[in-house]
Amino acid sequence: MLTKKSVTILIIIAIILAGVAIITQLSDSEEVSTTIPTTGNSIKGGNVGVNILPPSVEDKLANGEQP
Amino acid sequence: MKTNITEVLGYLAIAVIIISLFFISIRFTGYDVTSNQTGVVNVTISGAGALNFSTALLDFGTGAVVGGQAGATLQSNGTGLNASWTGPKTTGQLVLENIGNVNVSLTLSTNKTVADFIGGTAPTFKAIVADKAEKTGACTGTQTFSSYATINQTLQTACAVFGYASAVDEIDIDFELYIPNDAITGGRTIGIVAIGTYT
Repeated sequence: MLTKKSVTILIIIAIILAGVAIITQLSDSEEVSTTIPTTGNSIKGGNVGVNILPPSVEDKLANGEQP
Repeated sequence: MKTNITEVLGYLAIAVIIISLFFISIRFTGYDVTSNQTGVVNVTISGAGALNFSTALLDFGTGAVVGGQAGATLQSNGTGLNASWTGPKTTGQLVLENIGNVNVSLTLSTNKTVADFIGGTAPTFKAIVADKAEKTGACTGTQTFSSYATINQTLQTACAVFGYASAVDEIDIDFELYIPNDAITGGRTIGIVAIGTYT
């Protein structure tokens, strides 16, 4: 027959041992941290274009210039 | 049969003690050959700044300075000037998008001087930056090109903050050329360099 006092002691011991068992199992955990690095500055290019023609002969004549 | 709670608790405690002692013992005796190893993986996704010209070419077309004029002024935005130029009015612009996942600080510059691009007497090359029509708030903070301003090989801040969220991730870049009547003739191009800096 288990007395109330002995059961109380058993419960306390059980709680303590269960805690120790859990801690020993968790101590195997391994944490892996991965950081994806920043790619840094981004550089891109666009273009602006224009095709420049010399003034036309008609334009020059109309403005009194020599073609 | 009457159940004695105290005895049940006692036997449960004994069972827990036995199980706990089993796991503790195999941990320290080296017999845990089937031990499960638990791993925790942390992934930290850092910010990545990335730009893309969704419209990468602006062509002012072909034309000449009207005879008798000192030069022609061309603007690419729709309401802009097309003074003393025989060519068509240009309504396009460069469109730059922030395709990264962070806000960036945007600088703009050119890859050559205006003298190399247009030549002649006192040519000018200016840019203006504005939020794309449906992207209000894309470009905020310091804005050198909020109105037409000279763009050259010096890095200048176009947007202190260029957003990445889809609602605020595109800007229009328009340009103004002043082509003197003694400019270099033929096809002329200049590169626009956009640098997004993630801080």
